[in-house]
Amino acid sequence: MADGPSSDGSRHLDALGQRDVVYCHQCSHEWYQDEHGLACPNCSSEITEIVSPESDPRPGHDEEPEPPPDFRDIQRHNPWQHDAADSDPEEADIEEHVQHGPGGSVFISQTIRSSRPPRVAFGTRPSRRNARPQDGPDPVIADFQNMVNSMMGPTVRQGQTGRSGADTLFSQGQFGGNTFQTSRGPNVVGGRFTFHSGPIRPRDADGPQPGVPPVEDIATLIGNLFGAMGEPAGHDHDHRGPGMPPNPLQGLFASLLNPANARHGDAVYSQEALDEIISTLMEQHPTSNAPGPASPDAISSLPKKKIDEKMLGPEGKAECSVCMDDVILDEEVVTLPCSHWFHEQCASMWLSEHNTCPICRKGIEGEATPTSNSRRSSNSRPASRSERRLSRISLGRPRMSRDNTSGSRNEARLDAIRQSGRLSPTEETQGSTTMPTGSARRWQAVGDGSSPHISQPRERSNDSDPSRDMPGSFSSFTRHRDRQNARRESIGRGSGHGNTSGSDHSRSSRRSSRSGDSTGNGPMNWLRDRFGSGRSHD
Amino acid sequence: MASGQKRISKELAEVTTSPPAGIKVSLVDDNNVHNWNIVMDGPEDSPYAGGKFKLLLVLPTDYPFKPPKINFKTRIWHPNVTFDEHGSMCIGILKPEAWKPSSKILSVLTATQNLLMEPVPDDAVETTAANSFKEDRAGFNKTAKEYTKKYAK
Repeated sequence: MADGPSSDGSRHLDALGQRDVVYCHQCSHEWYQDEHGLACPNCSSEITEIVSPESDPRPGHDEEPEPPPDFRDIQRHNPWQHDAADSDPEEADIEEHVQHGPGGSVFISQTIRSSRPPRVAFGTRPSRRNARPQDGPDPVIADFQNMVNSMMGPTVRQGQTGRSGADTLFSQGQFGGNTFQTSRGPNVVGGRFTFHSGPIRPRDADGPQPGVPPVEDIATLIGNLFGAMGEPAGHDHDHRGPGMPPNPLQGLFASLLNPANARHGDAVYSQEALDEIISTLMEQHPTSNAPGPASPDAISSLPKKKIDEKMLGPEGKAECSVCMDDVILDEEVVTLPCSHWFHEQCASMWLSEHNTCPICRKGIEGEATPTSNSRRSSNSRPASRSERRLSRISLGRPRMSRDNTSGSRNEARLDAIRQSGRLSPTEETQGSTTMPTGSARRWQAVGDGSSPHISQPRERSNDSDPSRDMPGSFSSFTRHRDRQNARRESIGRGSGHGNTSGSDHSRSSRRSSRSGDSTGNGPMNWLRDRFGSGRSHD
Repeated sequence: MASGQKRISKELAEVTTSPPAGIKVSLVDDNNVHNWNIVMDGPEDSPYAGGKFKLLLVLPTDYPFKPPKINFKTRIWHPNVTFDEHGSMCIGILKPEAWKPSSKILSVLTATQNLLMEPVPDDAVETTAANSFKEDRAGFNKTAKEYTKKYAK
């Protein structure tokens, strides 16, 4: 009806039936959900969508072979198709209003009014009335109500295919302009309202919207719409059908302000609409809410063990709770810190996606290196927006720094292991016999007193201080130096000082691994960071 | 994934040979172990008593590493189930952050049964139902009973 994208003529699977049709945004493939699940069988992409009458992403969808009766009426009802045959448009009274609004928006309203009796204007009316005698109010109004309802959102769902509104009622202009086609009252044949609000910019998820604030803009535009509507509405006031609500168009445009409709295509006009999109995204990527993966090293370093009689239990029978296969005596399994055991393959399948025990959900990496989940949330909670941006900017660092990251990550783990082995207070005192107590401060003092260029303690304090003050902003060079120092110190100094360097170090590498993550995942990671902070610790 | 298929078959055998009270399980298509039809009796001491609720359980290809999906095919007036054609259910055990591979389908089904007996209005997806459950229990029970009579035959 509206001049939407031209159809390529291909047939689509019937999304109205009992079975859910899934559409792949990656390769445009479509299939039934019960056959192939949610991931695309073609390209195994997970960017898929279940097609529903309210939301149909498939292109060229107006090629619906057998529209439901309600919808057929709407199509037949299009005044632009029937004017040619039923009433001469030249005879009609055509009004056009052009208004220039703020922000370079243009609003055009066109009203076509016929002087003929409605019967002529709507040639299909008698047959429609025969076809649906149960319709109380005027069928024209009923049809219009259908259109309004389809815009008003999910409260009243007609069995109508296609995007609600976007393809059927609105045709997206090339600059984000919208054309509303509508008809109302027995005497008005049709009207067309167009407004152009300038190019819609892609939304910058991180920064404030440049240019005209969208919400205000649409409110103004709707204000203009109402202004222009007033006049033609008055003309046919007397001819209004009995079932006609006071002003259905008012409802129609008011519904634009409804969060459910405050978006067209990729543009959103309100916070609610954005939130809705984000929650949809999060639903589509459920793993983003789950604990992060365990590192391959941590998985491969899990202790392996042969099944013994004790593990088989009193019945002499036990199974791997992942694959539910029975295990036999002397079969090799891996054991997690929580002492639950699994087939190696089964455990690594799960751990490579979630850093938790498949049975009790306890993290597999101990206290020293917390799970990536709590790590991320504990870091991102206090982090301010600008800080986060800083860490994102730091992604622009040369490639070398990322290699450093993985290297330092391993070392952090080593340090952490070293550290956890040294936590006992006795060792601490032993270490401090070779070194004065109150190390950090003391070292600083010594460094200040002696010649600066060979004094390692001085160097250390230089390294650690900026990274403490400005999280995420240390340079790769600093980190590199830090690493060398850490090594030198842990070798040369003995345990007391190695301790501090270890903890400091694992902290910085934690941060760097976080920024490394976001290189790979882009916006999803931003979402995760942003919304992950509300997540609970395990 | 072969191991997943094997486990699913095992679980299916377990559930069909000794089904939990009030639950019947069958495959939608005998050649596909991933889609299960469930018929669940409304628990006796709930407003759903006497109703037979159809559910569709879909096991992802990477089950048990991903949680199964379960939807009510019969309309049900319940705070944690959407009152629409999807019948999406919100249940803790199936949430991605709570799912663990050692959870079995059987436990999912019994958790669903428990949810029918004890809705969790604070974790609601059907807010109208949740509000009436919290504020007007009698009214909620009445509506739930009516819909059970109407839909869950």
